Amino acid sequence: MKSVFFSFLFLAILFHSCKKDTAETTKPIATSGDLTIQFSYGFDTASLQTDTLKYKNAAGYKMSVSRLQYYVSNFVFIKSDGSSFPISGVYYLDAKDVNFSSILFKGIPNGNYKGLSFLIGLDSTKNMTYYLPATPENNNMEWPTTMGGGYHFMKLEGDFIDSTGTWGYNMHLGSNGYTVGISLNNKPFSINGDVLSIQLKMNVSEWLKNPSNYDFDIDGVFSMGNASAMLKLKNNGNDVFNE
Amino acid sequence: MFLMNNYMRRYYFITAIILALSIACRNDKATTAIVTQIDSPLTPYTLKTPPHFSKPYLPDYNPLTVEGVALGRRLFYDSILSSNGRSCSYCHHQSLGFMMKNSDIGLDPNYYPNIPALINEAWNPYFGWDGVFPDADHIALVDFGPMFFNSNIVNVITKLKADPTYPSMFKRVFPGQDVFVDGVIQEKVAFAVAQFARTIVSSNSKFDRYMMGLEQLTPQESNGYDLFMTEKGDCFHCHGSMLFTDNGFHNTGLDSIFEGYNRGRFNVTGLQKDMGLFRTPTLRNCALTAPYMHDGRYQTLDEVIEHYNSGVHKTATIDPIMTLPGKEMGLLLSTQQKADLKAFLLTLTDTTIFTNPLYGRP
Repeated sequence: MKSVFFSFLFLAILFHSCKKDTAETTKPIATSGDLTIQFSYGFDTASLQTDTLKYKNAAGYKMSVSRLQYYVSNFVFIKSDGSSFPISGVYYLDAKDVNFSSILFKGIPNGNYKGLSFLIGLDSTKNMTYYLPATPENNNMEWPTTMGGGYHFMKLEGDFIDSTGTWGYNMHLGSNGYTVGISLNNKPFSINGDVLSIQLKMNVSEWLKNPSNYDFDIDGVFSMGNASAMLKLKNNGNDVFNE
Repeated sequence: MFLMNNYMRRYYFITAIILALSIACRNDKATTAIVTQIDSPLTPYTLKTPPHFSKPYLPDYNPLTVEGVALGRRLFYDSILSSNGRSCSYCHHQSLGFMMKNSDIGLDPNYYPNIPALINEAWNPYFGWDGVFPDADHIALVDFGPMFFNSNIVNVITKLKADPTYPSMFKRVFPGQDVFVDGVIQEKVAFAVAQFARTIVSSNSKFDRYMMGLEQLTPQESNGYDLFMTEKGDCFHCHGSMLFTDNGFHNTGLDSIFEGYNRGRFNVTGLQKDMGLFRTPTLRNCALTAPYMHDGRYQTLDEVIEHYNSGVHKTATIDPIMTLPGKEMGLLLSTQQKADLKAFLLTLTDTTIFTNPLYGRP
């Protein structure tokens, strides 16, 4: 009898001492959830395959994309009732690097959302040299202090073919005033205390069209130091995430 | 007797409970602590990251330790590894900024690439002018070959084993392994040397002091800085950030025909788009690390600047940076501007690494 009692006691102590804390506490009802935005890329109707000269841009040139690196910031998630939830972070994305292909937003309040808005680039309060941590990626996006400091908002590079041969192009965007506003009012999603993943697809072709075609031979293969070229990119960029 | 039995039974159960608890509840941390205690933990080496440098690339499989760096430093300066009296320091000479003209040591500059200066290697993601080495930890494996150390590995092992301190140093850094085996020793030497090489940090140039507000640039240096960092000179796209390299690969128009080593990154990837591309070298200490370019074709900074000013060859893989509209004929810098640019490059000189005892022969 005593053995039974002690065995019981032994097992009781064993289980009691080893149980995990979470087993006993009732899971609280979460009032917020996590949202992952996965970024993908296409060129008009095709999905984007980098380093291949197989896409035709609006100006009529065959072209490739060898580099597409950019920042997104100032996210605002807009609820169906019109209220909004802003996030102040700046996020680096790289179309060729899976490590920089998504953003995880933690603690987004539960509710039905009708869309979101954000900037490509950094607003003037953030676009300052060394505002961002000194990572290799951020360092390579630096915009020299002698030209105003801060960061490149985007580097879109690759090759294109014209009547004289194959040439490279560098579409760089930066400097205060050249952020690109993205507004996606019809991108509904619901957060209910769990983890949700949504996808945003950039149509790279849109950087070079709508409202105005960017022609590498006329507008230049190089947007840097060229305000009108950068303005064209900025204005074309508003709808790159429209699907 | 009964009482005794009862007492013993109780004692048995209590012991069993304690034992069961200790087994059931032990965590991995406790186990790890016991194991490492037996192995006597190595002392982590903290690599000081200079202001605005990014996080260094430090692999998990070869972490920096005080003991590993010390072993690597000793090996770096020791001709025990070679059959011809050479050590790593033979080509990477501290008083020459951890490099050497290959012509000065009998390497045919027409065949061997320019010896790179070993500074700030911890921030490099690729090694070799064409990026053929994906990490720093295996580069020294090449050095045992006939063109550098011409090592007889059996002899190297015999000499290392006979040394009064190497066996204990290797055992300490690479515990639980018999390192004195052909095929193993080479990797362990390379790992230790890589650890030492990663500790060589250059961040004490006039430009660094200027960035910290401790010193002013002269008007000429300042003009050069502006040329460097704007589209006029446009050096910064590749030689930007405090590392003065983007760690990328570019064709800067050195050649119009690509043969042999001059094919650059193409030799590694086999991709046509990589024809003639080479890794951007840091410009830190460039004033003291002539000759220049992957093949050491230029002997002075003036020649390098002149290349960008007027000597660029346009081919299919040339970097678009080199063909900026309006600069089809080169940068078109004036004599004064070229001198200003050079004056700025001279501010990147850090002579402290030449004499820093931490990097010297132990």
